[in-house]
Amino acid sequence: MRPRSGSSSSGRVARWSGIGAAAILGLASVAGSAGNITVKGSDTMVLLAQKWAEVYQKQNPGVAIQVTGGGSGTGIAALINGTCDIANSSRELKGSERKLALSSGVDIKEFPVALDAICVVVHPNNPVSELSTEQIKGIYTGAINDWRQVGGTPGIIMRYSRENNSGTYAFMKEQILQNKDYAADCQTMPGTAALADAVARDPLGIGYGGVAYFLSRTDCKVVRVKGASGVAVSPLTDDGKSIAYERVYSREYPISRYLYCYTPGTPRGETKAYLDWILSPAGQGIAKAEGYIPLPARTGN
Amino acid sequence: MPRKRQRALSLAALAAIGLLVPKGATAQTPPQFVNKTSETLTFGGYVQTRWQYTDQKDALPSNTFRIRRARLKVQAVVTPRIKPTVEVDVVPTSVVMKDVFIDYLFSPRGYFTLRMGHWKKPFSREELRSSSALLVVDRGRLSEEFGPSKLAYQERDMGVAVLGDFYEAKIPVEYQVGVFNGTGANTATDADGRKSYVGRVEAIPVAGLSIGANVNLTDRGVNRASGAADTLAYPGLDDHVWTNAYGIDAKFQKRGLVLEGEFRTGDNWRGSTLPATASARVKNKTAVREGVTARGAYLTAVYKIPVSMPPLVAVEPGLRVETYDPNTDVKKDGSTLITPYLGLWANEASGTRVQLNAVIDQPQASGQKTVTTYVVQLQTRY
Repeated sequence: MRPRSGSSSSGRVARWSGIGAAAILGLASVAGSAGNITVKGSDTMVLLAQKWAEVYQKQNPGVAIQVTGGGSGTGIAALINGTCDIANSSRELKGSERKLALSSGVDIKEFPVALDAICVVVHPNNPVSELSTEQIKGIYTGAINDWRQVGGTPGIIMRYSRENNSGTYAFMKEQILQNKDYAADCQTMPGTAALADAVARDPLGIGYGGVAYFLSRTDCKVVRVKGASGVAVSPLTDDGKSIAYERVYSREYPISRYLYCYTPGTPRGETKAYLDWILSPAGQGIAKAEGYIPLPARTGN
Repeated sequence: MPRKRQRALSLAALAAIGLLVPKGATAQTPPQFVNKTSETLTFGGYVQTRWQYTDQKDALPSNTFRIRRARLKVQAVVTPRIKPTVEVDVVPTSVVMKDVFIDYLFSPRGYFTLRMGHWKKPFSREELRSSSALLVVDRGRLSEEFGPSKLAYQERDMGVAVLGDFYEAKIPVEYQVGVFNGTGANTATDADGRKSYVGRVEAIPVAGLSIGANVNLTDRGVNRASGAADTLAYPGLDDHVWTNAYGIDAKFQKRGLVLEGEFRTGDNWRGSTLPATASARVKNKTAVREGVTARGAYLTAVYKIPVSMPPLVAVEPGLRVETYDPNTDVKKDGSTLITPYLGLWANEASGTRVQLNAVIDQPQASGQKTVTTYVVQLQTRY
């Protein structure tokens, strides 16, 4: 690699060493920056995160909070890269993310901030009103392909799913598909709203997403889901106009999950104050008002 | 083109299209969509181009532009458990196989994966780090001496391994243990039955601090080819001569600062003399211990500082200090290398940066002169 001969220069070695060390030590002191709160991540949580930010900024005029979506994976990657202060995620950290964070010197802290029930939705004209978790698994893995197989009128099932950076996608895969792969003909939608639009247009469609998205939509039908108990349960109240919180807290409705905020290390300063407020009755009240499910301990549930 | 021939070709094309159309296509079928929910194929790679200059005037080339690496990597997900990988390097005169292996995941969480094929033996943190993510432009003297065409403890090879990590279970430990041919990279077959047993374990006890340990136990043969000296080599016939190497390493990373160090030691079988008699080369014994030991260490520090000077997004000064001793029984036969470094980052996500290095190679023996090699490298990942 490096032939040996040429100009002798032990002084040069020392000089280069000195310059390098000085550069590192001198420039190291430049590090560190303060700023506003940047929040990035889960599309499922983006409506809630925007509302939290809006209200908090009104109450704290000196604070600026920037909220963007992109998916849970995007937010966590940004957190590890140091380009956001809070990552919203609708799933727990993956092993690969934990490894990357730890090796990068980022000790990620996890804060459950709300709950979410995942709705399974079909077109309003679809006669199917309930599905078991096994049937949902069968539909999304491709084992069940015709509505007739689940008590509906004959017709090829059109499966709508989310992109793989979606926490909801990952949650469904792990909890319902039991880590089996999605069927190859699933159509990938860029967000829950797009997925809901697709199901609303397609009489043979099926989709899934956070319950908050489907509270106000009459063009999608939320099906009841039968879990281990064998009883088909809806995440909505009987009139379909609000969330059945008790069914989620008691796990009677079988597809629910925590929603998380992640921070790079123990939060401090404004980020800590903001997270404390999110977990306070005021923040949890907003979660409820926006169609999410507040944490049970904070609501007395 | 004559009209008759044109017509015949058109008919043939239509017939071919007809054959390609699925039989049920005439019936009404729902539209099929490309599967985007599972990454069936992922393409990636990186390119490194550089200018290199050495102040040793009689060295060739002493002043040259070159393409250091041009990699293309394809990873597939055949099923959630079966994941093949192929990586090649496109060099000016040929295409060289780098990684070709199949992973079979026994555990979906990544705890246990079986790998078979051709890839880097799990030895040395620096060696396993992608060359597109090195802290300075090139790996150091230690990797050169322990690598291919020298002591060959760390190189690509064909074999089988079990690897995995437990991060999903919140246990920050990963490992890889494998058996390899011991014949090195891109060797079509294993001429002897001897194997190389290599393992590595790495843990992150606290955020930012990663520590690792490696071991390589390689059974090498004795070269008794016609006319060859009685030396250790890969294609031996009868004898089993074990050559071993060990290493420990650590990396600390916090914000923009990265500190990395490594110590490696091993039998310098190329500098060894075998026991004089065949009976001394007892089967499965470490006969090479009558030889010599090589060892070395390095410490690298870099610090990345974000800047707002388009197109630059960060500057990264660094320094690497390395020492290598090819024979621990002999004093002042090694060398010390000092590598000041500056990285100018244009895009962090793709690793696009200009890297400037000056490798100052100072032999410890008196009378030998220092050689400085300058490198300016531009690299990007895709």
